Amino acid sequence: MATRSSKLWTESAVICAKEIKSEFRTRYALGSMLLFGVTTVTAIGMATAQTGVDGRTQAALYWVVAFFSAMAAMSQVFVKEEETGTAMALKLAARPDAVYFGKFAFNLLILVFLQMVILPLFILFVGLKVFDWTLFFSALALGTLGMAGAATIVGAIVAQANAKGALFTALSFPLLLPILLGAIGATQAALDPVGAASAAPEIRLLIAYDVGIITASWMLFEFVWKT
Amino acid sequence: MESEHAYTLRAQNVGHKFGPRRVFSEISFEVSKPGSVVIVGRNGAGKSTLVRILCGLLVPTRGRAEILRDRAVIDIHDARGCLGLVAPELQLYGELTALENLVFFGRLRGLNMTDDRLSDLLESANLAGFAGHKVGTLSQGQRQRMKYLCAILHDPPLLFLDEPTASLDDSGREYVFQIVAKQRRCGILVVATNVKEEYAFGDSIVEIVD
Repeated sequence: MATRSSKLWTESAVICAKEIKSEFRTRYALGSMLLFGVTTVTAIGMATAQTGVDGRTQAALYWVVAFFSAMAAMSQVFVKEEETGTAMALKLAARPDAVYFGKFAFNLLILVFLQMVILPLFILFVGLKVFDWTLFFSALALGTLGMAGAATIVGAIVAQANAKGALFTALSFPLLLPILLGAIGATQAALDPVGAASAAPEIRLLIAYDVGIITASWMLFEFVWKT
Repeated sequence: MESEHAYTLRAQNVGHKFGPRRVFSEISFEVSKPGSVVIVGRNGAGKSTLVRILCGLLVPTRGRAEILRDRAVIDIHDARGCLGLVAPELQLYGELTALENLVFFGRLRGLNMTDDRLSDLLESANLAGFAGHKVGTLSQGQRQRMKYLCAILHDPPLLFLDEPTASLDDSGREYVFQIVAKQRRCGILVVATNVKEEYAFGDSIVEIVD
């Protein structure tokens, strides 16, 4: 007999699979995200080709590009459901936590894909030189996880608002600022030949913030979704 | 359909406001399985709003709506497994095919439907030839039939129909009449309509007045 939690994961997987299928058909999130990501990385690379960019600035630029590319993609995950009238059908058919985890998993996949695209571009065009790959990928993974968790709950809140516009980015920014600062700090350390040892506070911050934001989002989601 | 359980839908002094605007107030009725009720009222009286409240999609500003299973109140927000809804503002995924929509909503409801079952469902709604068509490319009437399929595929004890025959041709209306007849025999049916012929869908009528 299926338990309550196994049903939850099954429902979440069904919703995530639906999101992927819908995205491949409409390419709404991927299109805007890749357009922004590729354009900005290329522009940064061309603008700094002569002078070069030091590791600290590269790390900051990397996460700024990741943040705004992600905002372009993830703002639509819930807005689309409300605007097309499918939210009502989903509310009746799926439990709220399954919707949260399904959408969260989709956002996470979108962000992983984004990282897979902009990282090679940054290495190629901006000359990103990583000294500690373990630390670098830890920062990437933790930053991505936190961004997906925060963006999921903010997306659900924004979808209920009348004036959606730039609300998603505006609401996400304060919530994501600690993640961005932690991820930038840890990435800077990974790009520094002798900086790895100093990254422990940033990694601890990212882990704590990820656990906090994902748990709080999950607990709050039901109230937001039923509003 | 979970025929072994006794279901009751109860509205107690339900009222709703959107901001300062009062939509309706003091709506009370009770319907038990098997039974049906038709909600009528002028345009803007709040029929669709009342249906949304009864389905647990909207919290009323006054009173309460409850679903009872074997005389025990079940949380209206947790009652989704018992409900089916067809409403103009409820839409299916236009980028998915008819078959994919059925499989998606079936899986969310814990159903593992065989190909034969899916074919039978589509056939019953005269949509057998449209299984692979994206719902967004179907006509209004075909989309309405798809909504019915998604609403009844888990045999819900409570079925809510808001403007049940909107966009449907004669054969579509005949399909709805079959669903209505079955639901009135085996479950609870709530219909919100302004079409006089559909008043006969209910054992009783609830009129929303100013």
